Order: sequence, then C-alpha cells, then structure tokens
Amino acid sequence: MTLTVRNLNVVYGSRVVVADVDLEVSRGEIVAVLGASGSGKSSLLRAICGLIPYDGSVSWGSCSLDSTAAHNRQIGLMFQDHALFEHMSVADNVGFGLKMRGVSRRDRVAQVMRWLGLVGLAGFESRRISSLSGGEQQRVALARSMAPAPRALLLDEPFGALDPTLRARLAAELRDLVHHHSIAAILVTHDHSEAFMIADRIAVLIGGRIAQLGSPIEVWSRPESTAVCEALGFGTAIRATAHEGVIDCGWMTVAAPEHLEHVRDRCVDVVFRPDAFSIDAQGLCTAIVRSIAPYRDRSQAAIQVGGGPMVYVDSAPNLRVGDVVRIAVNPESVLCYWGGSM
Amino acid sequence: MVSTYIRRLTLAVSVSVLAGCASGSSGTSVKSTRSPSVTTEITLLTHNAFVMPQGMAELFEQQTGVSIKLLQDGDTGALVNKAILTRDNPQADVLFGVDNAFLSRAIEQKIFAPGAYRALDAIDTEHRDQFGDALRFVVPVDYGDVCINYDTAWFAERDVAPPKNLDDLVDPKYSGLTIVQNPATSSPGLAFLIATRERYPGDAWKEYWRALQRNNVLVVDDWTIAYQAEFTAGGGEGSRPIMISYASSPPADVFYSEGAKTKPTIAAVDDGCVRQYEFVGVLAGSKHEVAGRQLVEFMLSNEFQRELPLSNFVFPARREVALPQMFSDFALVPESPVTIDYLAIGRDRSEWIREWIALVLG
Amino acid sequence: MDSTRSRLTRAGQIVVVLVTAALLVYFVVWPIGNVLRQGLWANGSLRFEPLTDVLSNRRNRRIVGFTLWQATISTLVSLAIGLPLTYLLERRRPWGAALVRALVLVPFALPTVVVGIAFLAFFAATGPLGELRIAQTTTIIVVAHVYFNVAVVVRIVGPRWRLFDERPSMAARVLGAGSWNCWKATTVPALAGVVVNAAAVVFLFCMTSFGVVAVLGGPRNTTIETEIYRLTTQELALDRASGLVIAQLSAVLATMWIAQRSWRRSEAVKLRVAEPMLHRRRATAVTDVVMMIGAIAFVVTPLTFVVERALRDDGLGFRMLARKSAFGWSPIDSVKQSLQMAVWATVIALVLGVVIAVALSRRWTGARVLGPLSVLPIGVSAVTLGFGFLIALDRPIDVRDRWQLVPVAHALVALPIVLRTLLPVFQGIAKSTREAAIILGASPSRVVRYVDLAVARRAIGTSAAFAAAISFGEFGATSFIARTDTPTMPIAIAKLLSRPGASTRATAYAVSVVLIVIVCVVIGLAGIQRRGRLEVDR
Repeated sequence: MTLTVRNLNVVYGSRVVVADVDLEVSRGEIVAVLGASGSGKSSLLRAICGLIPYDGSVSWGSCSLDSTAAHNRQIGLMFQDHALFEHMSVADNVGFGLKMRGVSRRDRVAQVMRWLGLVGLAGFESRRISSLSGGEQQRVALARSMAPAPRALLLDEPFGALDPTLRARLAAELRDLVHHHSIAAILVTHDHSEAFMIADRIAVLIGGRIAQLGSPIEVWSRPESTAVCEALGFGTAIRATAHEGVIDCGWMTVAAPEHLEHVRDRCVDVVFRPDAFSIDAQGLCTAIVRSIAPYRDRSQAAIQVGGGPMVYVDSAPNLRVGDVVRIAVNPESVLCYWGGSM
Repeated sequence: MVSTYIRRLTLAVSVSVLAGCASGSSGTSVKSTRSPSVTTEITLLTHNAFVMPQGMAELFEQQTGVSIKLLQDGDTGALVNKAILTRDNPQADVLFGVDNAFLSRAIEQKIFAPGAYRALDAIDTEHRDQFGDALRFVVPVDYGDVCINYDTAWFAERDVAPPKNLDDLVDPKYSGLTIVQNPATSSPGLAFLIATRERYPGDAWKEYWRALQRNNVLVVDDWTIAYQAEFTAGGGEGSRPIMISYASSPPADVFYSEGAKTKPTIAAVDDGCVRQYEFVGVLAGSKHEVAGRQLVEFMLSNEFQRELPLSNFVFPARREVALPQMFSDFALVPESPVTIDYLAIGRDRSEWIREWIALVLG
Repeated sequence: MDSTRSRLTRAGQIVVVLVTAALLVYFVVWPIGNVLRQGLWANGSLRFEPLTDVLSNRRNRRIVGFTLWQATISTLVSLAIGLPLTYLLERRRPWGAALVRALVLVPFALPTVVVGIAFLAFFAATGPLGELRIAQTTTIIVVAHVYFNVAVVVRIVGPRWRLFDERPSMAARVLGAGSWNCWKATTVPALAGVVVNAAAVVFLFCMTSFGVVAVLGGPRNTTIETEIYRLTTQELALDRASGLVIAQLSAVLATMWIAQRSWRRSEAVKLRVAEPMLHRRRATAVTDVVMMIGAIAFVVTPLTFVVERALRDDGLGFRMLARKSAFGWSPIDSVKQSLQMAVWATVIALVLGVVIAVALSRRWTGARVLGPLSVLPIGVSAVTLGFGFLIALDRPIDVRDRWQLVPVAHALVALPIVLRTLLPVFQGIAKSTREAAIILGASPSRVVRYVDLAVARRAIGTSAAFAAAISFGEFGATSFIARTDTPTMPIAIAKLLSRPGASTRATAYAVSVVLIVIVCVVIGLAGIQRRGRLEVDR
C-alpha cells in the first residue's frame, strides 16, 4: 500500500502555493520534504490531510481519498507547534483520536499507557500540557498522532525547537516507530541535516514544486540545480568559466568534472559541497585563515583563497588566525551547472 | 384607586397558568374549576394595576360558561396606545381601564365596538351623563379621586396644622414639604395639573406653579418614587410629608398594614381633588363579541362592583353598592371634585403638558 | 478534497448564518421597522419632518446632547474605576479576588427601581450622603450607571487581561523600556481592542438606560430613551418618537462601528496562555487591600439598604413570601417564574452566542452581519422594541402573548454581553488546535464539542452567569410585553412597590433579597464550574 499524491496543486487566491506535486510514499518509508520557509511545505501537508481544498488527487492504495473528509482519512499530522489541546490532560490528548474512533474507555486507557510508555512518558497521564517541557510536549504530540494507528503520518517540522541531542534521539525513535509500524511518513523540514538524519528519500521543494526527489545519497551527491544545492545548505553558487578541462573562478582554478572536460569558454555556476576543501600540505592553493570557531568535536576554520569568498574546512590543532595554509580541492565535490543567462 | 401609572417600572402582570409555567396557586386562574361544558375563552386586556377581585372570574364562568384570560399591559396610556396600534388584529376581546384622560382618543380611534350596554341604567346620572356619546361604546366601571395626601403623624409630631387646600401648598410654612408627580409621565400628576388649571383659571395657574417652585416643590417622575422614596409616610426614608395621591389612600394604608394599623397615618385634603373614571368596552374586531358583552355587564353587576373597593381601591360606579366598613370609615369623598370634560382633556392634554414642561422644567 | 464537499460545507455555514440572522431580524429588526413604518410612512410616502425635527427642535437637540453627554461621562468613569479593579483582580489577584469578581455582577441583576430607591435613600436630603446634594442631577445618574456597569468592564476586559502574555513586556523591559514605555508598547496594544469594546457596551447601556434616568434623574434630566417612552406611551406620537429612534440607532451603529474597527486592529495581538510562573499570587500590598474594601463597600452598601428594609417589622416581608399577594399571585410563584425564565433565557442566549461566536471566529460566509445584528437589542429603545413586538409579531402566527417571548427578549438583551465574553476566547483558539482534532478523526460537530466548547468552558460559565443575571433583573423590553402569567421577580417587586402600605413594601424588599441571594448562588455556581479540573489556567 502506498500513499499516492498526483498532480497536486494548492492555490490561495491567485497565488499558487503548491504546484504539480507527485509523490509516492510506501509503508515503512519516510520521505523528507526539504524546503525553505514559504516553499509550500505546510500547505502540501494540509492538502494531503484534506484540511485545505486542492486540485489533483490523493489516494491510499487504489482508493481515492479526495472525497473523504479530513477526519475520516486516517492520516496523522504532527503540527509544527504541536497544537496540543491545552485544556486537556496528557492522557486525554493521546487518547483523543481513539475516542473519536469509538474505542472503548478501557481499551483507550491501555493504548494511552502503551504509547506514553513507548515515547518515554509513563506516569505523565494526568499532567497538564502547560507543565511539560518542549521535548515532553513533542513526545505527547508524537504519541497522540501515532495512537489511533494512522496509515500515514505527516510531520510538520517535528523537531523545530528542540536541542540537537534531543533532536537526534527523537529522530531515531521516530524512524524506529515508523518502520516498526509500517507507516507511510512524510516529514517536512527546512533543516537539511534533519532530512538526511531521518529520511529514506528526500524531496526538495522549491516554490511549491518538487525540484528533485531521490535517496539521500543521490540528492547529496548529485543535486540537480544550484537552487537544490542552496536548499541542501551547500552555500551560494559562484560564477566561473569552464575552459578545456579547467574551471576558473577568478581566485582559483580546479579541474573540471568529466562532463565539462571538452567545453571551451562556457559560463558555469559552481557550488562547493561542504566536503570540497581540506587542509593539505600537498594542496595546490594557498589560503589565509580568517577565523577559527569550535564546531562539534573539532574546530572549523574559515579560510579565504585570494579574493574569493570564505570557505570552511576542518581546522588543524595548532592553526591560528592569519596563518597561511595550503588546501586541496576534491573535484568530486565541486558541482558545476550550466550558467544562467550572461 | 391606588394604582400607579408609573413607567416601565410597573410592569405587566397576570396570573393565568401557562403550560409548564409556574404553579397553580394564582388567584385568578380559572382553569382548575373549568367545567367540561366550557367552550369559550375570552381575553380581558387591562393595565398592570388592575387586580381581578378574588373569585370573580370563577363566578363569571359559572354563570356564563365563559372563561377569562387576563392580559395586563403597561399603564393606561400604553394600554390605550397599544390597543390603537393593534386595532386591525386586536389581542383581546374586552378592554378595561381607559380613563377620562385617554377616553376621547380611544373613541376617536374607534377601538371599541359600538352598542350601548344595559348596565348603564344602574349608574347614577352624575357618573354617566358627562360622557355623552362615548357611552355608545363604553361604560364607566369605577371612579376615584386624586387628592393631596399628607402624613398625619408628621404634622402631629411637629404640632403643625396640616394643609387644608391648594393655597396652603404655596404658603412658606409648607416650604420644602410637597412632592408632585410629572404630568407628562404620571396620571395623578396630570390630574393635579388639571386641578390647578381649574382652580386658577386663565394664566393664574402659572403663577401658582411658580409659587410652588419658590416653595421648593419636588417634582418626581411617578407615584412609586414619590411614595416609596420621598414621602415620609411611604417607604420610610423620605423627607416630605405632602404628596399627590388618592382619596382612597387612607383605607389602603390600613388594609395593607396586615393588621398593624387600625387607623391610617395618611389623610387626604378635600380641595383640588380630580375625579378619574375607568371604562370598559368590547374591542372592535373581537371574535367573541357576545361573550365580551356578557363580561362588560358582569363587571357592572352588584357582585363584581362590591368587590372593587378593597381590591382596586376605587369607588364602584353602580348605584347603591354597599361600601366596606374600612372604606366608609377612612376614604375621603370630596365635596365637589373637579370633573373635566373628557373631550377637553383629549383635545388639550398635549398642549397642557407642553406648557407645563416649558414653565416648570424649563 | 473535491469541490462539492467544500461547497456543501459552505452551504451548511450559510444556512446556519441565515437562520441565526433571520431570528435576530424577526425579533429585533422587524418589530423596530414596523414602529418606524408607522411613524414615518404616511399616505404612501416617507415623511422627513420627524427626522429633521430631531436636529432643528431645540428641546430635541438638548435631549440628544444630554443623552450622549451623560453616557460618555458614565462610560469614562466606569472605565476609570473598572480598569484598575480589573488589573487588581486579574493580575495582582489578592485574597478574595474571586469573591469581588462575583460580587460586581450582583447589581446587574437588580431591578433599577430597587437600586434607584436605595440610592435615593442615601442621597436624599435627609440621607447619610444628602450633604452631597446630587439628587436629581447628572452626577447621581453617573454614579448609578457606574454601579451597574463596572461589572461589564471587569467581566469583559478581565479574561483577556488574565491571558495577557507577559513575555513581550519582559522583552521590552530587557530592551530598556521603562514601565511607562513598556506599558505603552505592549499592554496598550494588547488590551486596547477589548477595552474599547467594553466601553462600547457600557456606552450603549448608559445611552439607552431607562430606570436609572427616570428614577434618579428626575423629570428635568430627559434622555432620548425617556423621551421616546413619553412620546410613545403617553402621546402616541410615533412620528416624533421615530425621529428619536433613528437618532438613537445612528448613535448605536456609530458606536459599534468604532468598536468593531478597534477590535479588528487588536486581533493581531493574539491571545496566549500566560506562563504558569507569572500566575502566582503576589504579595498583597496596602493599596490592594484598600481597593478591595472600596470595591466591596461600593457594591454592598446599597444592598444593605435592601436587606435592612426587608428585615423591618420582624421580617414581615419574608412571612408574606408564601402568601398570596393582593394581585392574586404569591411572591414565591414569581421566584419560580423568574427561575424558569432565567433557565430558558440563558439556554437561548448561550446557543445563539456560541453559534454566532463560532461563525464570527471562523469567518463563515456572511457571518459579519451577525455582529451588528446581535448588538442591536441593547442599543435600541426598549419601549420601541416592546411596541414593535405588539404590532409586528402577530404574523405569520400570533406570538404576542406567548410566554416564550419573555425569555427570548431576555436572551436578546443578554446576547451582546454573552458574545463579547465568548468571542475573544473562540478567536484565541489556534487554527492548528482545531485541525489537530480533525486529523485525529473528530467530525466538525465533535471539533466544536471537544475543542471550542471545551476551551471556552470558563467563558461559557461567565456568560451564563451574565445571561442569568440579566434575565433575573430584566426590566426593559419585556416589561412591555403583555402577559398572562405570574410576573418575574423584578416585575413583582415593581408591582408591590406601586401599592401603599407596609406589608406590600416589606414583601417587595423581601423578594429583592431573594433575588440577590439567587443571583449570588448562580454566580457562585458559575465560579465553581470555572475551577474545573481541565482548565487552561491554574
């Protein structure tokens, strides 16, 4: 069984917010929709749930959901701000969907207990929502969307305001839950690291359209456009010239990738993936260290080559600001696209 | 009649039991005694001050098989005006409570069905002839006199002689002691204005009112405020011992004291009294005209008339009706009350009030 | 989602809006329209003289001017007293705040004639405050209006002030704003809308108030409302009355327009549940104690007068309660009658209020007409409405003397306040909360039940108390409905006071005491319900 979205469009007045989206999500699969704010992510999810009107079709297996009202679609949605019922207790929140499905009180209590246990909130049943921390609210929201056993689960920026450790842990838990219960899940986020952390496939949404859809490794290694690169957090594109196997950025040159080996004097857009540069005594270019900042377990140095922009590399232990270092460039990580209009 | 023509403050009331409403202890509810043969129910529309004497609705039903639904609505003015506005689709069959101040308007606007009543013969010419053509539509049921009232205890305590006539009210000796009601909104207020115009003809009444004002008269909007808040013998907290009320206030004072008083502490002044009549008639457009006429005749029967004094504190219009002891003992029967041509009241009422407002309220 | 569905939903919304609007039109617009037609339509053409007369006639100009003047002053003083009191009750929350919040509602339920006589007792020349010499002046009208309307300010502004999020204020403080600047930058924008709305309701009440002006103002202080009364009931001059009705309606609509605009502007400042920490009770300051005592004294003093009167003659009045009065009913009957009317009126007002609040807060098609329509009943002259009932409600079926008309009229008068209490709460419910319920399988009706109604429970309790209080004390339009049944308490009280004699008077005050007690109990019950276990605030 798959959740199939065909040719989905959402229009607000004259503004097209979601355009021609096609998406298939199988059970046990998580698709991350990655996009900047305003790219139509939330509208896409609301449309799939049936909360807002749309053109196109949404179906589950062979069964169309278009004429099914939102409350009968059995598609779960976890809201960006959790949208927990502040006027109810934790248990009433988690049990709400079951109550709506007509589950008896006794079974409901058992289910609520089970889910609270699964998300690590056993004993929180009668707590008030406003007395919970952000992470706890997050888990309640997750338990609440999972408890009625939806066939598909949509998650809107689920880890938005959480600290990184908690985020990583919850992401792993969510992955396990989705896989274990064979749920088709769509997660939207503006945070590429979150997408890579959790998704089986990634869809990059730009201006309401899916610009690229593929496995994380495909998307990571072969972004289809500079816009996709930007959405993936690779930084902005740099104008350069490709000429007989060499890409000339003005402030440095690198070997051109295979498909550009034979072009002459073509304008191209170059994006350096984060892993493009490394400090290497054998490197071809020299660069000046402008600043050093701690990053995770290491430190990261911002270096500048000639008059070019700042690029980031893993720092060496005894590096100082103002040092001149040699750097190597990994041609695999230099992404070149045909330039725009000149 | 100790009714008060106060404004929104006195409200419509009545007593019949409605589906799902209230208990069955209401006095004029007749449904409990309704015999199976009853087929007709007629509606009696009246002002909110009217009290159906106990047992009378039941008696009427026994005699005629017609039951009465009592509908009470506002003061006399509102009652008549509403009857006029609804004359194309009247709410009721019989209307009781039009007084001489509104009679000509009611007749002019043709709210009553024509046809003279037999009961007229039982009324003295004194209470009858002055109404001329109006008697082709209505019958007077009762009358009462609006008089100056004073607190006997207040004057006795201070060893001051109580006022004896209208002139005394402008005597500096009685400065700051008098309350009068606004004739624009109060029926006794209007009666008092008429009394002064009658006693001081021409423009002399204006001088009288100016003198009243110099003598610190207090003008209030209605009887309830005058009696309950300002009158010393009324609600208790008041500071003025003279007000405009009724000749029948003294017996009412005793009657409503629940046995605490054997003698009234209110007395009426036999000067400047104005007689008010109340009329009944069948409304034009009534679907039960025959039964309605039976009710009108019944209201002038001896049985009904003799109950009026102690229920509504008015004098019966029918001749030779025995008055209760309390009434003959304490009620004032003025020597020569002012009676005014009802047509003149109807014609000039608005003008009189306008002149009064300009003069007194400025 | 296919478009048929959304069209169906839309159609359903339009039906609900239409039915509600039709009810309001039938019971408010249609009766008033009929009176205006009688007054302004003659020989098949519209007459303009009554309208121009309002402006050209000196007396009318003075009446209109005085009406607006006293209503403005009354409103400003009500705010000047009500807002600090609200701050005290909702933010500082000294001991006894709940009691005062309940107490201020009591005057609302008292018949104006009783309060009027109580006030006269204090301010009459021989009374304890007689030295002030304010009997029959604008001042005493203002004082009485404030007495009745402080509850409106406290109860309408209170819930919003209570939920006021202090975090922006903290942010402002951190950014260097002093308390004045901070107040200007955060508190004022957050509360301006609701304050203007409360002011609008108070203004309308004061502009159309009848009993206070008639009882306390004396014959010289004529307002539009008392003049309409005189012209309609005494002079049958519907034409001249119509001119004033139109003037009154214009003032009402202008007031509502201003209120609505400021409301929309302040909607941008969304309600948030305040941080739990900030809700802790603070140390009680001396000024708090002084204000609390002042508030209690202000509300209770006139009530002591009523109680004292009722206890005179060894409690004669209470002994008379169960006995049949001169009018044929016993006062106990009128208590039962009032209870019954209040239950019905409250139910009707709440149903209408919830439907309109839901429609307005979700911006249903056409819902915007419901706002102004529902405020009309307190803005139009009660006597006009009463006369309108009589000449308009006999078709298609004659409902003029049905008892149901009484609770309907009570409910209509209560509706504006009910709505002002419910609407902010419904508007404060985040869209995503409702969507979450839908996603979890709640049908639209269940969303209303489990989200809207559940969140608004406290506000519904408050508005139920308001509606019941208004029904218990209603003295306006309903007094112009001809009735065949036992009178409600205020009407019974007025009738009893309209007869001389110690026993009727004592009975009237005893019924007043019963009324006060019942109102306190009802308000207390609403208060208990508010502390239910699943509440937004602790």
